[in-house]
Amino acid sequence: MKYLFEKHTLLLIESLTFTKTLFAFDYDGTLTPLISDYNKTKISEKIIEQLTLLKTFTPVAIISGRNTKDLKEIMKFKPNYLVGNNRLVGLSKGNNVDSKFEKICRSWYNDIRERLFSGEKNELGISIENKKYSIAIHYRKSRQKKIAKKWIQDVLAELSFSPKIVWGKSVVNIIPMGAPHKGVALLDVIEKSGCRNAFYIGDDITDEDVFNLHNYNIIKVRIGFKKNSAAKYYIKNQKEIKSLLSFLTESFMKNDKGR
Amino acid sequence: MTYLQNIKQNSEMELLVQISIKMQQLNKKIEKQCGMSLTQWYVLNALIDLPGISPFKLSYSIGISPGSLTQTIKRLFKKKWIVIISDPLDSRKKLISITRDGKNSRDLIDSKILPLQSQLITLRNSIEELKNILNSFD
Repeated sequence: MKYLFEKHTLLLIESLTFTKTLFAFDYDGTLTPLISDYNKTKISEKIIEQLTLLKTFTPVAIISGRNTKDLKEIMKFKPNYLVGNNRLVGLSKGNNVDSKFEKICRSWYNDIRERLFSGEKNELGISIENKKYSIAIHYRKSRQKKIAKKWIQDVLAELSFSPKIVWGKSVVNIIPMGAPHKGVALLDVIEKSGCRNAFYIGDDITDEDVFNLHNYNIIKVRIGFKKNSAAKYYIKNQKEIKSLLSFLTESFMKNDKGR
Repeated sequence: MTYLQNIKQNSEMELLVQISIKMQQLNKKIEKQCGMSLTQWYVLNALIDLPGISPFKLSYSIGISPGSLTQTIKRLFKKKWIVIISDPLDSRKKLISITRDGKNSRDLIDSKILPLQSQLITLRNSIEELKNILNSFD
């Protein structure tokens, strides 16, 4: 992986602003810092300002595993394309398929919730989020993370419909097999936007579905260096997202001045 | 075939050769005036829409042989009109992008050849047809 703010890499990023490029962002951990209570995450005013400016120059997308309704409520920024539940809003893949995934997730949610609140397990600081087409089990608040993780692993082993399990930073996402992922969602958005090129940045294991896309016309960036990531570039931490957005908007403004 | 028929038979080919000669002269004139050849302009035009592409894929996309493209890339790099970086996932591979200087220089050439381009627009279909005929000889 190469550091994005290295001189020559920045020239490559700048060249994206010379042509129609979709800029897509993960939400949690990318546009917002990761905090222990995911219900309280918030994009800073500065980033909202920068995204709003960026949107005047180029299409902007936000792709998240969060429930779309939740995203719309908490986000004060309206991108050109919003993907919640890893699915482009307004682009259904078929009602029968969607409701099948939804039913599976609901049954998992009920199962896990029942076990979580049946005894003293909630003392482990585990919380569960039903994202409609996936489930997230958070243990960031736990003071006994190893035990919490073991408990989760045991529960997952007994779930019906063998889920796809994606371990993230103090969170595990469980997804029905065959359900859409961020890589598919991004390709949908690129097609819809009419852009030839795309830029995507994310921080989590679920973003590896994007990083593993082999399209040469997608620049893939990870927040934080990780040796085995399929992303080609990285920024050091979420704080650097402001610098990235400043760089992009300044590049676009230079293009306008040059006309 | 009579002598006059022979002349008519050759004149289309002669025209084609004359066009080729004129293109070479135009190329030299533009390179002298603007410091950029038409081939370099053509490659930079392609790079605008293909940021971070490998030279091999670029060669395939625009129909210039890898050998010829290598020379053009070297010249563009020397003038700092493109940047070449190693592919982070495989340092043997290179990725190229146009720089801001390269874009500005390309825009300048665009303005120089604009009068010619506006005249050629009316001949677009004929030029496409000629290109197809020449392609059939590949």
